[in-house]
Amino acid sequence: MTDKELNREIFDYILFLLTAARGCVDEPHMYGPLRLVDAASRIIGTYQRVKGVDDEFLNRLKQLIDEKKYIVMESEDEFTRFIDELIAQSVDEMKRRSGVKA
Amino acid sequence: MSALDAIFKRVTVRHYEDKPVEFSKLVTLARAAQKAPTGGNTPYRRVMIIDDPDTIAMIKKIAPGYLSNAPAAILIYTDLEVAEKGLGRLGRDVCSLIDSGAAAANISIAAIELGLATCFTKSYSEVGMKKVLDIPDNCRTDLLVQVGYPHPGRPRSIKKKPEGNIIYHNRHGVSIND
Ligand SMILES: Cc1cc2nc3c(=O)[nH]c(=O)nc-3n(C[C@H](O)[C@H](O)[C@H](O)COP(=O)(O)O)c2cc1C
Repeated sequence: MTDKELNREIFDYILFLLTAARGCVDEPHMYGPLRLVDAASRIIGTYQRVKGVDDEFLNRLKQLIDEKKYIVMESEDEFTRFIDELIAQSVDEMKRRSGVKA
Repeated sequence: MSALDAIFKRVTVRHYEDKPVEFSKLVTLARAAQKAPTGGNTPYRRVMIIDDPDTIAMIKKIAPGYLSNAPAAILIYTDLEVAEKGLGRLGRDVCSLIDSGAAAANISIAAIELGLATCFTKSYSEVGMKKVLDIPDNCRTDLLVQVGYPHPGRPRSIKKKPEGNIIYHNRHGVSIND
């Protein structure tokens, strides 16, 4: 990815965050968590497009988010459990990366 | 396809094929939208076809709820001055919103007949949408409907919540199943 492309992605990302922030004022409260989870997926997307970067764990995390984020519209509880699951997997990965047994 | 078939087939779609929607089909959808009723026959509803890829890309950037790759969209909006002049505050604040919903429903049903699918979209910045599309201050955007060819391998649609199917008979609280 060239600097110019990265600059464009960051710009788009900023606009996403600002419009999502405005949405948080009026939208259902669970849409805030949805936007943050979506933001995580978008950051991973940008990271994937940076030349030479390939993080298997983050790739899987993004795939999981993109597949399951819509359950927020079916069940608040299930979506909350889904975020907890994303966190649990990420903490295991953090420990693995720090050389601590998961 | 019967109207009833189309109504019961409709679901929100968030994964589309990577191909544009023919302009003639978008015009048919826009006409279906304008065929919906308006309170007091007041001509306050505006319908805009958006199929320029750069414009769609800009809209996606100000619309956190535009989660799909739909290549086109139809915006339904209201000229608030015309609404207020014709129907008063009821027209401006209530009827026009109902009418926009009716227009969007027409789009989503007509789309099925044309082999297309849709996703209603309200999670966007009003200020951003108006700026991108040069919409004047006397208008209020009501709903954006994403349009595209549904991806055949798309994930299942969202399950309706049980309370989403409540139907009463003659009195509030008396179910048709009682
Ligand atoms: C007024 C309105 C606004 C909506 N806004 C969005 C939106 O911004 N983004 C989105 O992906 N879906 C949006 N939806 C779609 C709903 O999430 C969807 O209709 C609902 O989950 C029920 O699914 P179904 O249409 O398949 O029956 C909206 C629906 C309505 C009626």
